[in-house]
Amino acid sequence: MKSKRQRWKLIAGFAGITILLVWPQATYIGKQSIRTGIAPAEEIGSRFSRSFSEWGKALRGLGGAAEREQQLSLELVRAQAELNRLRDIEIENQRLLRALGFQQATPYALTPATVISRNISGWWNTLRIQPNSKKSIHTDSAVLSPDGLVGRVLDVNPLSAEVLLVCDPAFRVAARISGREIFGVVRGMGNSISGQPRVRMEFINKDSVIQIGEEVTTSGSTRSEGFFPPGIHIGYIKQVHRDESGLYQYAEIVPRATGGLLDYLFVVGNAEETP
Amino acid sequence: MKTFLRITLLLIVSVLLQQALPGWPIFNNLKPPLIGALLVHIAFRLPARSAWQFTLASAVIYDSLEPGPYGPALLAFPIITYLTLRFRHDLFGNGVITQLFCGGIAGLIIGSVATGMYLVTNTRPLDSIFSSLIGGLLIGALLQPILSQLLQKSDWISQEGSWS
Repeated sequence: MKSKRQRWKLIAGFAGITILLVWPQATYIGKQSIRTGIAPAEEIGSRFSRSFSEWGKALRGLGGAAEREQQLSLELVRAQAELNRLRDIEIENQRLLRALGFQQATPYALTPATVISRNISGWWNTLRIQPNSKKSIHTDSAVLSPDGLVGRVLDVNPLSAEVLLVCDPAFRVAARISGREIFGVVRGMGNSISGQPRVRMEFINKDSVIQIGEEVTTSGSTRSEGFFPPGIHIGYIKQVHRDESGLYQYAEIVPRATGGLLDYLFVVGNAEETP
Repeated sequence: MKTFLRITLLLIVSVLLQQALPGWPIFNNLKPPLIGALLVHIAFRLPARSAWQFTLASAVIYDSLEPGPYGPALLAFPIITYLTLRFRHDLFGNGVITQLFCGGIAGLIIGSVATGMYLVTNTRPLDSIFSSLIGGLLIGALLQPILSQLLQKSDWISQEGSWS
């Protein structure tokens, strides 16, 4: 009798695992439930580490209110984004004076978010964030820090969202050399042995002359335009190489923005969602 | 009931800790397999039923917190539990060498299953499989004795205890 019951339990266990493995809807529901359930614990852990960091700063005489830091970060992101936008507009304006018309880039809304945890295994370069306001966050939206592009929203849960970092091999975004008509695709390359994020800009025209130190920004020509606007800073050119095929060039980029557990990030929203 | 609460608390703390810990860039950014080590420790001490319950719960939580498909933990953790339960009476679970060996094997199993899963689903580039597997083995072997000795000293999970 006991062995029969055990056999049924075993079958039920195998059935449960198989359903989770092969049925996408069960995977989605399972992940959403667990992530929503664990989000409060992650938030507590994140608050604890923030408080710990604040105490450390206060002890070193650098103490400041977290809210003020967040506000300043938001202002800095806005100012930098505006600067990039204005720089592009200036060049565009000169050209458009000779051309047909002018299209002003739509300013975008930023939703502040707190980093509550990182990836559990290390196989993925992801973060989990919790939006500080009730505004909705959409999949594939750009995620910024005051230093530039951090990644994109991979998955949205009721209480949190997964962010795929720029250095993850699955990350890809259309990019350009700032202020020039040189385009390419920025792709994550993982981390170096020293732990630095590695990013590469590929498919650059083989005849373009690129200088070391030039700025790389998003070109805004992705499918999710509006949530991934142009002019977002990605990093600087470190090295330029000719591809083995000889058909294009690729460049190593030093990304400036990295997402850490103590960072405040901002999710780019639709223009209609501007508060 | 007391042991159940303790183990639940341990699981939550280890999940949060494993997420907060930095990866090891030399081993393809792998993180110390805290949950895997806790699983081995528990499988050595608790009755089979409780060990299996813990295994399934921790595997589902672990895989849910990963962006990829379910599988790496859901397949690896039961293998670790099965092997530990199968051989626990033949091994000296409190010995550092045994813990080192079992931790290494557990890390290797977790790494191998994840590699296999990502190879099948094509969700991760697997250009440094070797360093991931070696990393899993070494980090697992290093972590297991530390965690097991700490838990043994604190006496949080008693030998042959039950968590329900």
